[in-house]
Amino acid sequence: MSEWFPNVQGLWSEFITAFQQTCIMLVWSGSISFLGGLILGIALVITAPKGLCENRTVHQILGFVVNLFRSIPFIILLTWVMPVTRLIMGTAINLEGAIVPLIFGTIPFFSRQVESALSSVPYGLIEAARAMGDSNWQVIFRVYLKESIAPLARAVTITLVSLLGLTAMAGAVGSGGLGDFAIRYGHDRNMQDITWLVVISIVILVCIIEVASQIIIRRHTYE
Amino acid sequence: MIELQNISKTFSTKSGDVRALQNVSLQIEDRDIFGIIGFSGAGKSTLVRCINQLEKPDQGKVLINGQNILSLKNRELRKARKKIGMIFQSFNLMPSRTIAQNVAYPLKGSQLSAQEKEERVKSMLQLVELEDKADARPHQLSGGQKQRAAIARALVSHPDILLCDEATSALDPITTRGILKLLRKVNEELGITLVIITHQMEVVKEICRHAAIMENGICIESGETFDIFSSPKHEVTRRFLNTATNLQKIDELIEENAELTKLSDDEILVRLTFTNKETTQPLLYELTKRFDCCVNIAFADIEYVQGSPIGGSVVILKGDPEALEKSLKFLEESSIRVEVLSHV
Repeated sequence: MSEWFPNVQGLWSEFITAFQQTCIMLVWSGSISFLGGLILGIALVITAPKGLCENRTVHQILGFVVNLFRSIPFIILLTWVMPVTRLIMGTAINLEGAIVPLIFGTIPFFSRQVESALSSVPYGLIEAARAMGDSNWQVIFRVYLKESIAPLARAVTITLVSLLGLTAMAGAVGSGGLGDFAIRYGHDRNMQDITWLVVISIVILVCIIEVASQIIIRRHTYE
Repeated sequence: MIELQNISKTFSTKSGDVRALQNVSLQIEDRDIFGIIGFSGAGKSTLVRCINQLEKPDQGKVLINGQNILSLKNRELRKARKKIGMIFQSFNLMPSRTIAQNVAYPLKGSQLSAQEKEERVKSMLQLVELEDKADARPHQLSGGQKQRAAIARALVSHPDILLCDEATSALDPITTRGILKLLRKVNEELGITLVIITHQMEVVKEICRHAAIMENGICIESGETFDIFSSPKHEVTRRFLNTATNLQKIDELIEENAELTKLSDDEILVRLTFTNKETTQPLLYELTKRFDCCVNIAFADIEYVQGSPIGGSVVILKGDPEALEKSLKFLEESSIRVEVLSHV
């Protein structure tokens, strides 16, 4: 162990803290983005032409906002949304300061994924539900969401993995986390073993996410 | 009773406005089986969707038992829709739910107890003979079974009306017959009014008591199915019927100057078509017996629409001029439409 990973023992507790910080960022910004992206994605689908509440103007505005935020590189977004971050969290640095830009970076991405997942529900199902007397809300929950659990799980997986990538960059505002840990020791002090440790732990995290989503997808795929 | 009064609907598309419905008026009596026929794009799907307001017409009224459902508020409209079942060409069962769950879907949020719901679902599955598929998922069923499940789902909330949108168009002929039989049973035993949209003439012939023909958003002809089939008034209707009968083939043969149509001096080629529901006498036999006229059947295509004969035959009559004249007169007097196609 000490031969292959000479620096790990001394930095273990710091690694654990970094790992926890990554998890906190993932859970908080992940769950808030999940809700926000879901709502935005649903809004995109129902305001689209032939949608439940067809509305060209709203659809185009939402689409424009989503595209705007999606086109900004995350590292720039971090700085750009700083005033908003300060307003909401009271600070623009540390772990707290990273959550808001992470959300801003993730919601647009996820909402497009949700949009395409929900669009995979055949139009006929929506029509049938309406013919059976469902209200718009009932159509959203009983048909759109219920019938697209598998593609939604796929969307969540892709988004979580990309969010994991963003958390590594959030180190730039002092959020800590695995990315920051790898830069400070693996890169700045050339501790190769620390880089390896971080890579392995991130691969494990991604694997857990993938496996969990595969289980959900398998359970909700009918054919 | 369903009354559609002066329904108009225009869709605006990129390539200009499409007038899907133009001033369509129809009356559908309670317990009737009403067919709406037309080539694709004729506007029949839009028309049927106006009945349950999946499409809002730009103009006109939709009266169901005297109530204009266009004036209903959202909540009332949804309640009204529960009394109008609908089935589709693509079945539209929810893939994530079992057949029993699909059938139970319209009962969500109803006042019934869980046990009552279960009983209703069971009785519906019995009606469509799918009890053994209650726990299967839609993808495990054949097309015909899926449509049966869809019928069960459409009927579970005890509607007064069932709208069928090309319900048999995706099915093979044998399955189609099974579904039509089931639909007739639904009409006769449960007293449900059926509105059937189709481009399949056979479907109308088989079960519809009344029918309307649509073309380019206009209802060009409507009435009793028998009358439409026996004496179509409109060109489009005739074109439609030609797809269903064999008797027009002779026109092609005449054009091609086929062997059959080369007549000798004392022969004439005649097309005879039934126009009267009550025609049952052996007319051709009478010709031979009474007028000494020799009858040679070239084509015959007779079938039964709503229990009455439709169609007729193309025959070559042979005899002296007087006999031929008498024969034709006799046929005309027997309510047979007589068309002399060619003679020398």
